[in-house]
Order: sequence, then C-alpha cells, then structure tokens
Amino acid sequence: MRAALASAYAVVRRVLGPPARLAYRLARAVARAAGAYAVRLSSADTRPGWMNRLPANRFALAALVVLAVAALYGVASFARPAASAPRHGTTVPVTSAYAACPDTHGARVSAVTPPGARGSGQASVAGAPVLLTTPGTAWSTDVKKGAGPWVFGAYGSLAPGLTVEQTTSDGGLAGTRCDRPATDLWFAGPGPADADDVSLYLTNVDDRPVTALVAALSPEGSIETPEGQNQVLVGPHSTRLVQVGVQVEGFGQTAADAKLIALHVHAMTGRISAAVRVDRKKGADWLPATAPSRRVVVPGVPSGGGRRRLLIAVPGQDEARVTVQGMAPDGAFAPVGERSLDATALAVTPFDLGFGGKSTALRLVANRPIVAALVAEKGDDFGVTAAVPPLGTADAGLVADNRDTTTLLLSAPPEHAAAVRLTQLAAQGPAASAKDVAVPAGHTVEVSLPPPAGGDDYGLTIAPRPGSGPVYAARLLEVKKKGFTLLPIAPARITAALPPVVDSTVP
Amino acid sequence: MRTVAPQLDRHIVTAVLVTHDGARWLPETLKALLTQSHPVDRLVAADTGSTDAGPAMLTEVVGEGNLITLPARTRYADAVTAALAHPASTVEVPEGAPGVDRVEWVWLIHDDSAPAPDALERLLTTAEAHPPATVLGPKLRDWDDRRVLLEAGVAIDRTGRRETGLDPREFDQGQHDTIREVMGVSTAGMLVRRDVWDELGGLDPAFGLFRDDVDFGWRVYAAGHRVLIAPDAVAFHAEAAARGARRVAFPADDRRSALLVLLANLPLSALALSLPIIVVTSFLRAAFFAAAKRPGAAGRELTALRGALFRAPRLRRARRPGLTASGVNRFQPRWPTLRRLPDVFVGRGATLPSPEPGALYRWLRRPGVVMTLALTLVALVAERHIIATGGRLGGGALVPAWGGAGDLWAEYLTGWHPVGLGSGTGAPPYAGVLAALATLLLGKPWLAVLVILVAGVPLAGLTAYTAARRLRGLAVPVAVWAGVTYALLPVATGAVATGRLGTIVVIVLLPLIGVFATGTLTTPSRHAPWAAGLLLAVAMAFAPLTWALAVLVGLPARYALAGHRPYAGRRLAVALGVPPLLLLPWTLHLLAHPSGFLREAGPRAAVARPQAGALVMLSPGGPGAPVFWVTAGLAATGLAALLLRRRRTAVLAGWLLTIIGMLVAILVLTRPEWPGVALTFAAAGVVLAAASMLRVAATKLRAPGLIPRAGAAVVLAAAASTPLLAAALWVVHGAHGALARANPEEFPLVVESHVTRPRFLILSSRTDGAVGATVIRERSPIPGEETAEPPAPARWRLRAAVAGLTSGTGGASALSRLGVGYVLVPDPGHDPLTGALDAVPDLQRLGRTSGFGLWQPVTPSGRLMLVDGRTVTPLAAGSIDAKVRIPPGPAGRTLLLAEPASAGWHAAIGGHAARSRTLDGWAQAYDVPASGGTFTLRRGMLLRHLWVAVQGVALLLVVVLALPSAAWVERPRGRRRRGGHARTTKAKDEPRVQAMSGVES
Repeated sequence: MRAALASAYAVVRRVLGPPARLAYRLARAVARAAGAYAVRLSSADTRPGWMNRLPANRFALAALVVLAVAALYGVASFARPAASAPRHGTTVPVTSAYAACPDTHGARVSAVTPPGARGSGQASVAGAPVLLTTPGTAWSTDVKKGAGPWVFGAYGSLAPGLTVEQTTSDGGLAGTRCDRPATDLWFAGPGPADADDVSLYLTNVDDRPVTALVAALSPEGSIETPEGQNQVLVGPHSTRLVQVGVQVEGFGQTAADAKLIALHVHAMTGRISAAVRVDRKKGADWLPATAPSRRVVVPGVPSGGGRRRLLIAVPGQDEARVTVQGMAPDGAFAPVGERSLDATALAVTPFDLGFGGKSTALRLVANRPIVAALVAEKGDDFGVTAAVPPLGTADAGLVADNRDTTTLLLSAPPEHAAAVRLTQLAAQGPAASAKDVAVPAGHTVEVSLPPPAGGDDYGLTIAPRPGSGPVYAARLLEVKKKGFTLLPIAPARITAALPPVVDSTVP
Repeated sequence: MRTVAPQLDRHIVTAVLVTHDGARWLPETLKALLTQSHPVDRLVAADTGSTDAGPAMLTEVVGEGNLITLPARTRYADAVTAALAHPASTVEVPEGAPGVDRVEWVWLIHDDSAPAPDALERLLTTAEAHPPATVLGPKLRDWDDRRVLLEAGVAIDRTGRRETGLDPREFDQGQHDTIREVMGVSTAGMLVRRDVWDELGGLDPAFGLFRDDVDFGWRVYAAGHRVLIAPDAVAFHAEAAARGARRVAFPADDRRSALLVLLANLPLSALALSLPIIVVTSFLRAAFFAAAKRPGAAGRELTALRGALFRAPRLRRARRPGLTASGVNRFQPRWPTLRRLPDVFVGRGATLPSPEPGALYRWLRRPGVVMTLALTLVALVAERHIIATGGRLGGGALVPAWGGAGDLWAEYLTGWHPVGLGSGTGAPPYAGVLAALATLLLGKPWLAVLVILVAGVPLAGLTAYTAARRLRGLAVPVAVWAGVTYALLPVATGAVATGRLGTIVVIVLLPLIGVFATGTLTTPSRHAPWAAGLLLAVAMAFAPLTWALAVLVGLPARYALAGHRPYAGRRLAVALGVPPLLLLPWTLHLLAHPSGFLREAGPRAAVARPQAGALVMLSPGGPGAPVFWVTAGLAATGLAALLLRRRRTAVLAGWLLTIIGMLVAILVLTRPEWPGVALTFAAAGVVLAAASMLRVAATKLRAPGLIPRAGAAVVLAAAASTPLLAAALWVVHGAHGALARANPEEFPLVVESHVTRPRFLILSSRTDGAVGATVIRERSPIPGEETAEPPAPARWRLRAAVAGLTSGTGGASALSRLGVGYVLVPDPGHDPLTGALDAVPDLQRLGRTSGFGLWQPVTPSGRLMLVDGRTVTPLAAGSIDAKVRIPPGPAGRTLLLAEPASAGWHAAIGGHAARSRTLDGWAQAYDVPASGGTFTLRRGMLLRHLWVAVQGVALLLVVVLALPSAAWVERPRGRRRRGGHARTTKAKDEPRVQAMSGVES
C-alpha cells in the first residue's frame, strides 16, 4: 500500500513538478519585477524625469485635480441611477375557472373556450351531463325546465378563456354571461317600480359560506336599510335569490318605488357570483355586470327606433360631470352637443339620448368614478348594455351563444383605428377561415356572420390584430317574436398577471 | 549650628554601613557620616561582594581588618545582623556624664544615602522628646535634585501598594514637616534603639531587599513601641537599587515582599478579608500585564503571589501570636486605587502642586473635550426627534433592536436562524459587535443603536481631531476645525437621518484607522499594524466596502510613503489581512457574493439619487443631507491647498483619496446602493488637504502685508463656513428622515401558537408595483437577521405562492406548505391586496383593524406537518429542534419540515435515522414508517460554534497585539522618559496608564 502510494506520488511529482515549478518561477519573477518597478517609481532619484517634474509644478497639478473632479462630475451625471422603474410581473395561463349560470330554467346554455391551450383539462358541471374536453370547441344545450343554477368548473387547458352564456326566451329574449366569482359587482337598470320583478341571484361556488353586502342607489339617492339587513349569507355551493323591492334583503318597500336602480354586490369574505334579471311587462333581460371608473365606454347601443336611456350611477359623495361622445357607423359625434351631463351623487341619473337610429358606442369621461349602463327599448322587448373594458391584442373576447341572427357591434375610440379577426368556433372546432374586420377610428361597425357549416349555433373569438388599437364589442341577438338581448363583451380571462414579488427577511 | 544639648550625650549610636558596588556615592556618604554634629560613637561597615573601589575606601576609614566582608548574595538584613555581631559594634565607649542611663542606638546607613550634617543630632533630639519612640527615621530627599522629597514615612495599603502620601516629584517646602507616628521608615537612615532591635531580631531576611522596613515597623508596633518620622532630620538617598543603578545578586521582588508583609503581619480577622482581595488583585494585575504584552511581568506577578503564599505561614509561626494585632491599620490608606484615579485622567505630567483650578476643570478646558461637548450638544438638539422616540427606532436602514443583548448573542452564535423560511447563513459580524456594545450598555440593544446614532457625530469629531493633532505642525484650532467639519459632513448627517449604522461607525473609526495605518507605514511601531487591522475589522464588519477601499488606498500608499522602509509591506499585509481573517466565515460568504461588499449593516433601504453636483460636493442626497453648497467652502479651501508650496504630500494624498473615494461612490450609486463609505473616504481626503491650507492661512494671518492677511482671512472664512452652516442647518432641520418610532405591537404575533409554530406572512404593495413578502416567526427580526436569507429554491417557492395568492390564480394551500399559518397586510385600508386576499376562497379573514388585516389559510399549518395524502396535521415543534410522537398509521406518510432542506438536520424516528428527502423542491421531509414512533430533530451547530470560538481567540490575540507596547506602559514612577523609542509615535496628550509597580530602595 505504502509502496503504491509512494510510486503514485513519484508519478504525480514527475508529471506536475516541472510546470508547477515553472509557473512559480514565472510568478515570482513578475512579482519581483513589479515590486522593483514600484520601488523605482517611489523614489525621486530613480523615477522618470517627467514624473518628478509633474508634481513640482503646482499649477499643473491643481489643473489636473480640477480636471479629474470635472471628469467625475461628468461620469456622475451620466451614471446617475434612473428612478426606480416599475417592476413587471409575468402572465401565466389561467389554470382554473368557474362560471356560474344563475338560473338555467328553460335556457340555452352555451360554452366555449379559445383554441390553442395545451395540455389536458376539462370543464364540467356538478350534477349535470356536461363535459368539455377540447379547447377551441363550442358547446351548447337547451336545458329542460326545472333545472336550477349551474356552476361550471374548469381546470387545465379548458380553464383559459372559459366563456359560458345562458339565454332564456320566456317573456322576452334575455341573455347573460355566466360570470366568474368576484368581490365587487355593479349593476344598473330599471328598478322595481318600473318592472314586474327585479331578481338578484347570488351564487357561492366555494366551500365556505360567503356574506354578500348589497347596496342600492335609486334616482332619489342611496337606499338606506337598517344595519345588517342588506347582508345576505350564501351557503357553500348554493344560490340565493333576492327579489329587490320585495324581500328584506332586497330593501323591501324602501326600494319598491325606485324606477331605476343600481346595485352593488360586495363579498365581505370570499367571492361571489351575482346576476340581476329584470322582468317588465314588455320584455326581460339580464343586467350586465360592470365596474365604476372615470373613463368608461358603453358598447352595443343597437340601431333602430325606440327609447335609449343612459343610466349613470355615482357611487361617490360628489356630483359627477360627464362628457359624452358617440361612435356611430359614420364616425364620432356628440349626442348631447358640447354640454356635459351632471349626474347626482349617490344616485342613478337617467338621460334620454337620441342617436338617430344608428348603432352606437358611448364614451363617457367623468371627473369622478361612475357606473354606466344603457337601456334600449325596441319593439316589445328591451335590452341592457353596460360599460366594459376594451379588448386588446393580449385580451381577446369570446362570445358563446351566436345564432344566425347575431350582430356584432365593434367600436374603436376616435384616437386609434382597430382591426380584429373573428374566428367562428363550431362543435367540431374552429372554422377553417377567419374574417378580418377593420374598424376605423371613432366608428362603429356592424358585423353579421353566416353560421359555419354544421349548425346554427357557434362560438366566436374576437381578437384584435397586432398593432390594432383597443376595440369595444357587444353582441346583439335577435330572435323573431321573442325580442332581442344585448351583451357587452368583456375580455376573456385567458391569462392571469402575476404581480412581481419581492421577498425579504425584514418587513 | 546649634549647641549640642548635654542630655544627648547619654545616647550611644552605632552606625551600620552596608555597601555593595556603591563607590559612586560612598565618598559623600562617608563624609556625611563622619562629620555629623552629633558624632556617631561606633561605625561598623560591611561590604557585600563589591567589585569596585568601595571596599578600599571603607578600609581607609575603618582600618585594616575591620571591614566585614560578606558574599555578594548576602541580603541587607543579614548584612546588618552580621555587622552588629562584629566586636566593633560593642566596643566600650568612654563613660560620659555619670549617673545618667545610657541608651544604645543602631543607625542604619546605606552606601547611597548621605545624612545631612545635623541629621543624627535631630533624630536624637526627637527621640529624647518622645520616649516611646524606639524607631526614628529622617525625611528622605533625592540625591540628585535635593529639593525633591522622596519619603517621609512609608505605609503599605491593603493591596500591597507602597504609599508615601506624596505626589510624584513633590518638592519639599516643609509641607510634611510634622513629627508623627508612621507605619515604617526607610532603612536608609533608620535609627533603632538597640534593645528593641535585639528584641525583634532585627530586619527579617525573608524580604530580600524591599519592604523589610515596613515589616519592621509593623513588628515594632506589635511589640508595643512606636515608629516616628523626624522630618527636621534629612538624608539624601539615591535609591540606587530600585532605580536600577546597581544590580543586586539576590532575588529582590518588590511585589512578593509587599504581599509577604501583608500576609505575615495582618491580624487573622483582617487576613481573612484581605486574602481573597489580594489573590484577585494579583490575578487582575497579571491579566493587565499580559494585556500590555509583558508576559514576563505577568509571570513574575503570579510567582510573587505564590512565593508570598508559601512563605507567609512560616513567618507567622515564627512571630509570636498576638503580636500581629495592633493599631497599624490606621496608617493604611483606604481606597488607594480610587484616590489615584484623578492622576490617571489628568495625566501624570503635572507634578508641581499648582494653584490652578481642579483636575476636572483642567480636563474640561482641553480643546478636544470642549469640541466634543459642543458637538454632542449639537447632535442632541438636531436628533431631538430620534431621541424622543425613546430608542425604539425603526425604518430606513435600521431594524428595530427588539429584545436584549442575549438575543443578539444567540443570533451570532447560532448555526441556524429561525427567521423567515430559515437560513443557515452565519450572522453578520456586526451583530456580534452590536451585541458586545449592548452588553456594555446594560444589555439593551436599542440603547446601543441610539448611542451609535447620537454619539456618532461627536465621536467622529473627536477621532478626527485626534488624528489631525498627529499631523506634523497642525495647531489646535486647525485640528478643531478638522474635527468639527469632518463630523458634520453631509454624509454623516445623512447616515444619521436614514439610520445607517455602518456609515456612522466607519466615519468614527476612519481617522483612527488612518492614524494607525500611517504609523504602520512610517514608524517602527509594532502595535500600529495590529491596531489598524483591528479597527479596520470593526469597520469592515459594519461596511465591508471599507476594507476594499483600504486595500485600494493602502497599496499605493505603501510605495508612496514607505517605499524604502523595511517591513512596511509585511506590516501593511498585517493591517489589511487581519480584518478578512478575523471575520472569517463571513468573509467567505462575502467573497461568494461580491455584491455584499456594497451593502452595509441593516436591510436594503431606499437610496437617494443625488445630482452630480451634489455628489461632487460630497453629499449623498436624501434625508438629512443639507443643500449641496454647504460644503462649497470646504471644497474651495481644499482646491486652494493644491497651490501650496509646502506640505504637498498631505495635500496630494488627500486629493488622491478624494478622487478614489468619489469614483467608487459614483460606481456604488449606479447599483444603486448607499455610497456613504466611499464618500467618507472622499470627504476625509478633502478635509486633510484643506487642513494643510488652513495651517498656512493661520500663519499668514499674522504675517506682514495687507494682501496675504486678506487672503488668509478669506480662506479662513470660507473654511469656517462649512462646519458652521452644516451645524446650523442640521439643528434647524433636525435629523428628519426615514427613522420613526417602531411599534412593538405592529404585528399581532400573540395569536401564534407556540406548539405548532405557524408562521406569519406579511404582504404589502410596494410603490414600484411589486408585492413585498416577508415571513416572520414568533418574534420580529432583530438587527443582523436581515441577511438570513433562505436558499434560492425556498425563496422562489415563496414568491410563486405569493404571486398566485395575490393574483387569484393560486390558493392559500401553497402557503400552508411553507408553514405559513397567518397572512397579514399592514394598512389594509389603502392596500389593494386587501381585496385580493378577501377574494381568495381558502383564506379566511380573522379580523381587520386600521393597523392590519389578518387572514388564515383554511388548511392548518405549522413548522412540522404530517402529510398523509391530502390530510395535513401540524405537529408540535421547537423553534429549531423538535421531539414529537407520531402515532402508527398507513404507510406512505411524509413528515414535512417547513425549513430548507440541508444536510445539517439530524432526524430519527423510533430510534432509527429517518429517510430524508426534499419536498416541493425546497423543504426538508422525512418518510414516516407505518409503525410511527418518536421523531427527534436536531440541528448540528458544531462548525459554527467552532468558528466563533476560533474567532474569539483570534480577536483576543489581535487585541493584545494591538495594545500599546510594554515600554509605553512600564514607565518609572515620577520620571517621564521623553523621546523614548515607543513614545515617538505618540502625541503629548494621550491618556496615560499609570505604572502599577511601586518601587523603593
């Protein structure tokens, strides 16, 4: 053993010895030379002459130092750190989604997801024979009478952009988006005094009970209730129906006289899905969910005759001053001229507007956050549209329930023209050809698509082309003898933005 | 000349002269002895092995064959005994007046002590007047300077220190001229009644050379006699042996003799009290000597103690019992050490008793002290807001210092930080320094932080003043200017306002580092490199950039200042090598993460973006930094210094320092990090250059001619504007900034369980759009723990979980796997995260106040969790270790320890080592057998403890080496050696350590 070690050591030494010695000698020589040079420089007798003369001239030296400081000033102004830039997070595909259809009683329920998602996944409804497994396909069914609320749950590749709609036709065509649960939802529309029934559907999709706080504004002001009466406890996986103007939770008699109403549903803990259905003598419709903002766009004012009432609710304590701009097929116009509208604080204010029968989108700019919706009457039915965020290149919109009578209303704000690609999705998958539509700035374009081969029902993706400006979209669905319904199209939730996170050990 | 009183004739005096190599003094001594106004009756001379002309001289006097010749090793006591045994000491003296009782006396004379001509006469006169006095001594004055009083009676205090009651080099103006009883008198000139001498057996030879006089006096009292000082009798004494003017051939250990006196003579009761004190004092003295790098002296001290302890019992036995008890203790001074304290502080230079005011007043009038006090006042007023918080400071770059010094020590010693998701990174060394400081300040870390913040500016002024005083030829006013200007730099006030302890410590230490570094390069001082290294290590612990800059500046300086000096390179290597080696485990961490060099003590805080102009004017910008033109006067003076014809080395060195410092500051700012340390270097350079200019201006102010005077006045006004403006602005604006009172109830940590130890996740929206996430455990983090970052996989996991939670894409179950049991949002009313968290389905809101909103994941969580499929059960766990019983159950269960996986965890289940694996990519997990069993978890910390122990020993070593050298401490009493070898590096005004060894002859 020892002999083996010794021989190995000898070999190592023979192989590595000479280069190591050489390197050591080289390093030593360099170090010695550098040291000797430094020593030579350090003495006035041996250092080069110019180096001796330089410090001797004090003016030259002072100039050198001033020059150095000036150079430092320059470097400092160049290298000045930028103001801390905002951090950007990442976006990831949504991996789970819920959609709660409030009341599928005799309704057509349609669901669609955009094509392109990878991996496996599925969407289903507990207790119902619904199962989607392929992204990019449309699915719809006519539900028999008596079925209650349906909650779609999707995960994996079926979660991104899951869009579900339900359309009922008794008492007038009424379609709505089966919305995902949220914490704050706003609705505005006709009140109990102007309707047979105003029903608020609250659906809890989670495992824990949720307390929803409901607040209401009428044209006369905020509808006050005794403390705690406007809180609605919704049990796990259940739906509560609140009849506004009738039940205690729906403000009882205090709200019965409200001709218009704006409802705010706030989940105190957890999240909740909400939908509001208004039944009038002439027609019925679901109110689209919206959110307060200072700049809102209400798309989808249909063409044709009938009353158009713009409802502006102001949640804040101060009166709002609102300027209105219209986007019609023949370009931007001012529906109320140069004047601005004054909306009362803590109330819903109606404005009857005339658009000359043109399909329009309204842009409202206010000095306070406002909630805007528009009630359109046409024939024996009425439809409600409300403000939605625009579709962008990264945020496509989806419509699930389209028939041969579907009309898309696409509007571009006056600043920027838009171009969108419409892709029809049938039960078998996306149609082979897509249609590109250009929307000039400040215009509204009406698009009617022939249904794809293999059925009247189809889904639709509305994807702005790269370089396009924002697009506001709404769907108008008309069924003869049954009326019409309006649906503003909000961006589908395909991706989720993850905020940047900075972790530290000290708060 | 007085007439001799007739009654003195009855006194027969036998003079005993013992010589040893005393030919230098012997002629005068003999002359004095033989020309006494009262002649001695007998003279006995003994020589102990002299090798000089002394014996020959004596033989001439006493006659051939009468000189007693003894070997060189004979002690004084034995020599006297031998002399008195000689027939010559009992020669009959002719009968005097009849009918009068004759009294025999022995008069001890050293060969280096010359009695005044009337000394014997006056001693006898005093003896005549005080019959109980059987031992008398003259007042001793110095041989060379005959005005200086050496001794008028001696005593020994309870610690063995010799006490004469005199100041060093006190002049004799008759101030001690009272005949009084004393504890003992020197054997030089001691007059003893012969019967008493015989009764007591003479001096005790056990003492060698020293202290036998005090011992003898003690025994005299014990025998019922009295010892008297007769101050009108004078003898002049050369103290040859004590001052080393001659060598003695036997061991003459003063300390041993002193201890022996006490141990042999103290009454039993007093001995019981004194013995422990003596032993402890001896050990303390030995430690002091060791610290002063005098191991020999330390060893001698211990040897002396041992010798005294062994010898004393024999002595006590030899002395008759009961004789030790006496009233001697009235001569023993009380609290001798306390009484000498003023001497230590005032310095021992003032020897003349002066009519000047008291010591404190003199101390207060020193310019450095006045400047420091003024700066303290300015700092106290300017930092009124900081002081008003009562020390519970947080915000900026300051972690609130909760807890006590023990917490800081524990943090420094531990090998695992139960902070956040857990970290095994060693604590930063500044935590250790802070812990030491907190220990000194009553164990209060917050007090340590407050002291650094408040005292930083005055201390910086003091150190800068001290350093400026070392510069050749710098007058006091210029040094005061340098101190005040340096202390009130924008970088200093800015560092205080943002709570950057690192910069403050560097500002305080940098002048001292400069002094010792200069000493390292330009003087042969041995301790300077070690002192520079030690201070640099402290500065590096707080701000590692200091070391990098020191290397950057030190290497060129070695060739500029000390190119030709031998050993300069080696010394510089010591000064620059000590800090990284002393801070070792942390240095490796630093080298592995070089960006750490730019960071300082404390968490990363917002850094201001100063304009280029402000930066060139040495201002870091941000809170606490005054408007940039405050330093314009300083910069102008510094630039003007470049035009000086003299002192060019200092000016050039200063500007090079400035340019290097500023360049580094610019680079640091681009990161962006706080440029405090680099700007401090730059500012020190400008102050150095400007001080040279001021010195010239100050001399020109008195020069003839109007133009030079006016120019000098302009320069002085410009220079003075900077400190005055800075102080005024600082006082007016106050140290407003990021610091605020920290609230101990900020987080409701009380809701936490101390059994399963679920963690808190604190989320907040930051101004840059990001979400800030911090995991804290049972207590808020303390200083130093901000660097305890978990490994990258754990951090990634945490960030992903938080992003999922706040974006609504993920639930709270990911948090539970991180051991998070609570989610907290401070300021929930304004934070948009509140809504996001409310919307998370599996997160339950526990409560919300104006101060915080609190949520709880539905899944239970804890530090240690038993995972069985989807069922998660938190288990009891300690803060680092754990011991818990796991019941039997299905196979395939996993024990999830929510700590980063590492080999440092040692776990066993049911007595067998647990099978370890990594879960979720970061966490330590163990497979649980179906049978269950007791699970024990332990974290190995041996390596860390070893590191810290080695570090402690190394620190002690460096401290000892850095202390001033022995020659400085060991200065003869009452004599100040000027221009000695070790003194060349010191200025005149540094504190002096009193020499502790008493000496006598």
